[in-house]
Amino acid sequence: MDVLVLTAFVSLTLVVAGVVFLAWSIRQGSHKHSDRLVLLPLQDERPCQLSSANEDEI
Amino acid sequence: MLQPSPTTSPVTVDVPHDLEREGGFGPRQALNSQEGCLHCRTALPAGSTQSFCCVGCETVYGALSDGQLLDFYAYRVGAAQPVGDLHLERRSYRWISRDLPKVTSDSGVVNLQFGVQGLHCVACVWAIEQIFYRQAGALGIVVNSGEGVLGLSVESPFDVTRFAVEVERLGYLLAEATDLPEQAMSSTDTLLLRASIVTVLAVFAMMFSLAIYLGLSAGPVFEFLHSANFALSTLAVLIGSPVFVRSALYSLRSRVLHMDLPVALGITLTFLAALWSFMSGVERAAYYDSLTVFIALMLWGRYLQERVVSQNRSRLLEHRPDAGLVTRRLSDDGVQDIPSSEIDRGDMLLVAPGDLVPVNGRVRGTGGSFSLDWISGEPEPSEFEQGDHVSAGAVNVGQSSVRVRALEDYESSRVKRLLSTPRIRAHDNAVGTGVRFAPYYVVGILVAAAVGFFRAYFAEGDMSAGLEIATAVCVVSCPCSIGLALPLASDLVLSQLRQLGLFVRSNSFLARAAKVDTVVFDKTGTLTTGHLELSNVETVSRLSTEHRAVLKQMVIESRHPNAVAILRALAAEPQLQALGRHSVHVREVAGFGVELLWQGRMFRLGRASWACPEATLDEPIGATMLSVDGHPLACFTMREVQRFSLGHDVGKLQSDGYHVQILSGDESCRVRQIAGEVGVAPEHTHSSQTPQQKASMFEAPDMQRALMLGDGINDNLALEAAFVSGTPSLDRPAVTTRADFYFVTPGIAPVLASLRAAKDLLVVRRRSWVFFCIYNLVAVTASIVGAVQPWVAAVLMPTSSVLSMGFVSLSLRHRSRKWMS
Repeated sequence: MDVLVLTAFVSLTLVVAGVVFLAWSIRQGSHKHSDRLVLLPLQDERPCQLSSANEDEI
Repeated sequence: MLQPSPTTSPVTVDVPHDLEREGGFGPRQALNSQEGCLHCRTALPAGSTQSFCCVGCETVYGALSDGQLLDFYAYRVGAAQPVGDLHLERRSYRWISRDLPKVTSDSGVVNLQFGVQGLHCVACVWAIEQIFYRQAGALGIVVNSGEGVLGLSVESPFDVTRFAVEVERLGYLLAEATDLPEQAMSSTDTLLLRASIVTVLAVFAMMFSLAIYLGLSAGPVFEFLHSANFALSTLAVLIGSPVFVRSALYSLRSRVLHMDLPVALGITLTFLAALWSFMSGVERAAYYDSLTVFIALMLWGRYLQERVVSQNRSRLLEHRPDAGLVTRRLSDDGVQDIPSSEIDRGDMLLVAPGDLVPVNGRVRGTGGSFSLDWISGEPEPSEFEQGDHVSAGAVNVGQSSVRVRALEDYESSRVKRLLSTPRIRAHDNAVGTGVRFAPYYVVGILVAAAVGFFRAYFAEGDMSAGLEIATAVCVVSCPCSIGLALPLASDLVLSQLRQLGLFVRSNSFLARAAKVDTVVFDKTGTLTTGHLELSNVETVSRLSTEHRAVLKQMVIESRHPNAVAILRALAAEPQLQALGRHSVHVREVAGFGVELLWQGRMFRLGRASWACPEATLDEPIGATMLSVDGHPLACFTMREVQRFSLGHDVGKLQSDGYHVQILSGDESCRVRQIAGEVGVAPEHTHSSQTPQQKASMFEAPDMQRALMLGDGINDNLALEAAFVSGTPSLDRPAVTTRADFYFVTPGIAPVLASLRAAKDLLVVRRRSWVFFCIYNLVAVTASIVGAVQPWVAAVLMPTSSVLSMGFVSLSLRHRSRKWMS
């Protein structure tokens, strides 16, 4: 019985923590720009700099 | 599949071999123009050697290529829409230097926010981030594609204007984000949070209940799980029920029986029964898990209902059109930028090229050319001279600023009235899911619950038995299948319409669109793109390379519609360079045209009588003449650019049984010409209409179920008066906020698709109601006779929901194939 109560308590604690993170994520609006988050693994890549010829045209 | 317009010439681009590589255009696919337009993948005519479907796609592709951003196509997800008729005139970026914080060497880190329009997927996000990080001073960027917001952190020497120019070259639109709340959660976000939490509670409740259903009936474990279940259901009620209870109370106060009323009633009765069961220790009526599952399903249904419409609204730039209107006023202190709301009668205004005249005025000093297409729909600009009256809403399309004396305050201006915040239609907030059926449903459930209660009470002589049966009736008859399946159906339709390029802004649009019997089109900007094109484009290719370069120099800075049309024809020659801005000067002669002195020769482009004063010409009225030293070189004639496959789509509307009419402020001859070309009878056209006359059209008895499509400010009153309204205009939020939907495609095919989709949705909804009624008949009967145990109710509810959702999605998938055919 003690184990059951302890298990339920730990489970609920984890769930509450998950809900808190969910609420924070929704408040930040992360779910609305998942497109940007998909690109995070590529963030170390430096943006390709323009060649000087193209830069003059722009 | 959209077909390229025969009036907009596809262009050819040589695809460099080094771009044919793995990863371009999707995994392991090389760039291949034989698979359609290189930018949007629209099918090209069979046997065509062209690479693009329109100049807009070619322009964006060129910008991506120039910027070495062709990886854009590797990241792009899903189909793209043709860019179509890309505006070639310059946009004003005054608002950047005027309204945004300055980025200087002393300002430190500056945080900026923009509204951005046109974001579709991760490729758009990637491209904008690449452009951002190339600039010195770029610190961090957050592109929120869901809300259409751009957040930048920059420091000196970051050039904000240059960044805006480069982003807009790719086809996006930037504006000041004036009304963005900080860190606030929208109602849709709150729904998502509530639904997520209640779902977690429901999962726990079902897990705890499983042990009880499998035989656990006594002991400390049973007591613990029983208490935990009650706590979970109480939490679910506290978190999830306010959404429905508030709506139900509001509907009662309004004396309208909304579908949220039976939902709220079911939640309340079930919870009271559960509370009684817990407090009394009697196990009957302890529907804890059913209650939490019920609330979770209803919350997800509500979220689905609101999600897509909320996304479509936030996709647009939502800045207030009236607040952003700025004018230049001349005073003793010089030129001042002031909000248009501060204009007083008698002020001297300086209307720069591209600016809007905010109030009725009188021209002072040198005149100029003004376009009235926003007000009257007439595409041809008019010439105004000293002393002429110029109407509010006219746009300066010349190359010089014009002084205008204000004849009225801005408060009295027609522009203010037409740009004012639109009234919220009464049915905009309606959920629209079986509202008429709700009263009968509520009464039916209450009667069935009462019958079940009294049957069990008299049969067993125990009130708890009666309460158990009444609760079972309320639980199994829950409108989950309707509350989830119908919102899912709407969500699927709205998502499909988004794929087709049509974005719905109104919750009740689909319900009203199914009743439409008449479709009314504005002409300029709706049936046509609002731009002109050369009707004799071969004239350009007959000119020598030098003359074409001179011609390009003369039109590249002009906003005159004729000049824009000539520039578009010259854009098809990508290697043609202008003469260079610093070596020549183009002079505008107001009311006549432009002239340029090049290598000792005077070139003129404009009215034939002015370009060739000594020649006797027999050119069409309105023709634009190019001459050198008074001798004609070429004569250009213009025509309005129709939308993609316009005649074909209008024909399909008529064959579907819709009455088609044209309503325009333009002259009768132009309106009837367009009508004849698209197959609309002359008696179904209405020309020279003022905005008020357009709106009053919809008061006629035969116009009570009309769909109005318009794009200009002169259509605002009509859009509000019509039963349903839509617009192709994205760069004019004053119009879009009055419409039930907007579309971004070059043609009107998505409009027809939306009408067909609405009718199909109505059929699917009715069939869903039939299933719902049959299910309730069986389930309620079983509950009344006592055959529904708590675990049966917990299984029946989600099962009926899943079956309903499966039916809806399969039905719509089958029907959606015909929407664009």
